[in-house]
Amino acid sequence: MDLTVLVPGSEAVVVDASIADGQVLVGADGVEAATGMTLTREGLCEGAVCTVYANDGEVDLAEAGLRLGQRSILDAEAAVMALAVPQRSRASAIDDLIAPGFTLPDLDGNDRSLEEFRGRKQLLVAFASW
Amino acid sequence: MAIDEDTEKIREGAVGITYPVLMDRDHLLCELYAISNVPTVIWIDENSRIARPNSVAFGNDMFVEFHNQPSEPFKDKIRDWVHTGKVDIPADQLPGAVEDLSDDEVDARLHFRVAAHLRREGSGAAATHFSKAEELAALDFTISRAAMPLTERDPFGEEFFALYEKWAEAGSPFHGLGRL
Repeated sequence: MDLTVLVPGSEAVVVDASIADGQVLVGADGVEAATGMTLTREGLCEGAVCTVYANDGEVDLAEAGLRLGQRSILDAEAAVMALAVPQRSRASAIDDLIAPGFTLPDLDGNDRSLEEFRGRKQLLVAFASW
Repeated sequence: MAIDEDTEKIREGAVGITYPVLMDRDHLLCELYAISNVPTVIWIDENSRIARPNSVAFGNDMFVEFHNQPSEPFKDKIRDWVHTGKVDIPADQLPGAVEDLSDDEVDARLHFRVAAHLRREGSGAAATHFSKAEELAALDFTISRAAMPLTERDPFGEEFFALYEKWAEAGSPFHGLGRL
């Protein structure tokens, strides 16, 4: 089935998944689209760094997410899954005081990144209409 | 950074503002920076380091009678930082000053994100996820109050004041340094 995966900080992706017993099985393409990780014989890899993961060409996306420090929720009926921001990104902000980068659209829909303002002091103000 | 679904409403309030106003409809920053209420202000220095983490601070005194926190003292601290680079809190107190999100608070954000997505798609399944999010993080304003306008409830009405009271009774939980 087509599963929409809401990926933190970027566009949602649609992957081919089979869902059974709480598992969300996806192929190498799916796991790469959803997590940016490559599925190889060694396991789940980010560049040369791999997490050993026994697989026969398919991966449970929820479990793969957990291994990457990403919690997730699944609405099987609506065919939507959401993956959390990896815990290590937040830890870098909280413990190491390194501002995690992000890209968000401005009011005209143009993407802007925190990185653009490097070299200047920045005041990040979270506000809302509610 | 507007933690908000409604671009038009934010645009109305941003008339004349010359710095970038960004829309964070999926509450990405509430996950990345553990933001749990607005306004939350974070100082970031020239090297992309967090000079002063999450604080409650107001840009003006419009609601000062409600929250009792005048805007000027914090603005003075900002001016001081901009001119001298000095931060009013000792550097060794900053790492770990923001409490990390609990698993429930992360899951609440996931349910909120799914709810917002389904609502945009016009799906009735959105309501279940808004409720679930509010169950998991009832005193997190980026969940419970932000959900109000998306579920036909008034974020400035009775329900908000009841939420505020409950939050105050619980010791005003906030992910960050809190007030001055």
